[in-house]
Amino acid sequence: MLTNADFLALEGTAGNFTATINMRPRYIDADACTACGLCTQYCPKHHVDPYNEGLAITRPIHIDYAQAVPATYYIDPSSCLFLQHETCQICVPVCQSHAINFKQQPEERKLQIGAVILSPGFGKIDPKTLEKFSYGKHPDVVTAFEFERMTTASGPFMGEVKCFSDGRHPKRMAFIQCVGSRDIGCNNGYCSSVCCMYAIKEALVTKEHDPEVDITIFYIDIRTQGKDFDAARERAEAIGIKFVRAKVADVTPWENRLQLTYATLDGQHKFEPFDMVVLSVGLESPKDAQKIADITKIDLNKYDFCATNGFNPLQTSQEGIVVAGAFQGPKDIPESVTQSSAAASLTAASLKKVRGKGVELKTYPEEQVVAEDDEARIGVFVCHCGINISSVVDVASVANYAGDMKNVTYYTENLYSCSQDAQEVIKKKIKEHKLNRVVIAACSPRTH
Amino acid sequence: MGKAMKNREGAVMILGGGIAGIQAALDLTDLGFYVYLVEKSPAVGGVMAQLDKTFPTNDCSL
Repeated sequence: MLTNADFLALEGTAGNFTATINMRPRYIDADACTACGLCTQYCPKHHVDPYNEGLAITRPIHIDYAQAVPATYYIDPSSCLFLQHETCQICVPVCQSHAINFKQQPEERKLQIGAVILSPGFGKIDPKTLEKFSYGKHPDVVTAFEFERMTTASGPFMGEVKCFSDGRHPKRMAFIQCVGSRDIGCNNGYCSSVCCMYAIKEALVTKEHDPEVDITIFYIDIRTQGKDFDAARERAEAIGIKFVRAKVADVTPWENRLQLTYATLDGQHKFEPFDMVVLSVGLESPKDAQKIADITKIDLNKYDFCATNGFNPLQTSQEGIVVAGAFQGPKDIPESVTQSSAAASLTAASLKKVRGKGVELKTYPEEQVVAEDDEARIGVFVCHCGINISSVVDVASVANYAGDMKNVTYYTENLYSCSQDAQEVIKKKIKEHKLNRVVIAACSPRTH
Repeated sequence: MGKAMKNREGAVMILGGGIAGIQAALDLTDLGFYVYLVEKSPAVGGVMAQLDKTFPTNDCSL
C-alpha cells in the first residue's frame, strides 16, 4: 500500500511494465506514529477539512478519520506553519514517540509490474455549473456530498440538519436532480446513475432525523434501476417525500429563504420557497483523467472517462491495462465492486504464468511449547500511552504492584506499547526472560 | 534516480485506493499476486469512506 503517492510514468509492455511513482512526504514516521492525536491538539493552525467537505476545521497535522488506513497522521504542507513559513514546530516536542520529521523528502520509486488496474474513481462537478442554483452565493444551498457529511452521525454536525445561514432547522427542503449530469451545458450529457438513489437515501435519512421536514425531489426521470431500488423510492413516497417531475431553472435568495423557479411537463412555470436546497451533483471523470491517459496512452471517451468496448467493458485500449469502477463510467458501489473482481480476474488470467511467484507466504516464528505443568513465567507490560493512560492511572505503581505478584518474572512500563519499536522490545524480553505468559495493559490504537 | 524496489514477478499496480481498487487488490492477493495499491491521498477508502449509509437498504457503509 503506497499512500500519498503520485503516478508519474509507465514504460514497457504488458507483462513487463515499469511504473514510476512519487511518494510525497507525510512528515511523520509511519512506524513510530501511534495515532494518539496529541499533535492535532497542540497544532495552532486551522486547516479546512476536505474529508468533511470543508464543513469542519481541523489542523494541518491530522488524520482524516479515526479508522483511516494507514493509521498514521500526516501534515498537509499547504497550511503547515513550518512548511510554509519555517516557524512553529510546536508538534515536534509534543510527539512522545518522536515521529515527526520535517526532513522527510519526496521519494521516487520504480515498480516492476506485469499489469495495471486503473481505479482512480470519479471527479466532482465544477462549482461554476452550480452557480445558477446560488451555490456559493447562499449558504443554504449545499451539494449532496456536503449534505452527506451533515447527516452523518460521526460528522461535524453529529447528524443534525441545519441551515448554515442562521442555524435553524429547515422545514422545507428541495433536492434538485441531474445537476452536472444529463446537462449538455457543462458537457456532461450522460446520466450519473447514482444521484436518484442517493437523493432518496438522503431524504429518507433526513426524515428519520426530523419526521416533520417537508421534502420535495425535483427530477427529470427517476432512474432506480437496481435491485430493490424502486422499493426504496416507494418507501420514500409512502412516508411523504414528494417527487415532482420538473426542470429547475434557477434558485434565488428570497428574504431568508430560497426561491425555486421550475417548469413542469405541461409547460407551467412555478415558484416555490424552500429553507434549504440540496444539489444532487453528478459524477464527472476524475480531474487527472487526461494525465493518466497521457502516461498510460489509453484512450478516453468524449466525456473523459476511460474508453472501453461494450463487449469487453474493462479492457482499455492498451494491453495489460484494465479499468474498474467509476473511471469506466459513473456507477454505484456494488457495481464497482463487481467490476473490480472482474478486473482482478482478467489481470490474473493475463499473468497466469507467473502466478504465485511474486508473493511470499507469511511465516510466523515457531511457537514455544508451554506445557500445563511448566512454571508460569509472566511478563507484564504496563502502557503509558503517552499521557492518555498515565494522566489518569499511576502507571509506575501498577507495574510495581504487578511485579510483586506471584510468578511475575518480568515487569516494565512502556511509553507506547503499540509502536513498532516497543513491540521489538517485548519480543526481546520474551526471549530473554523465557516468558510463557504475557500481559499487556494498554488500550487499542483503534479506540482513541 | 529512482530507488528500485525488490523485483516481484507478476506484480500488479492498482491506481486508486477507493472501494474499486481495494476490492481488486484483495482479490488479486487471494489469487497469489503481489499488489502495489497506489493512492494519491494519505489514506485508502476513497469517497466511500465519507459516506454514512448506502442505498437501497440504508445500512452503514463501513
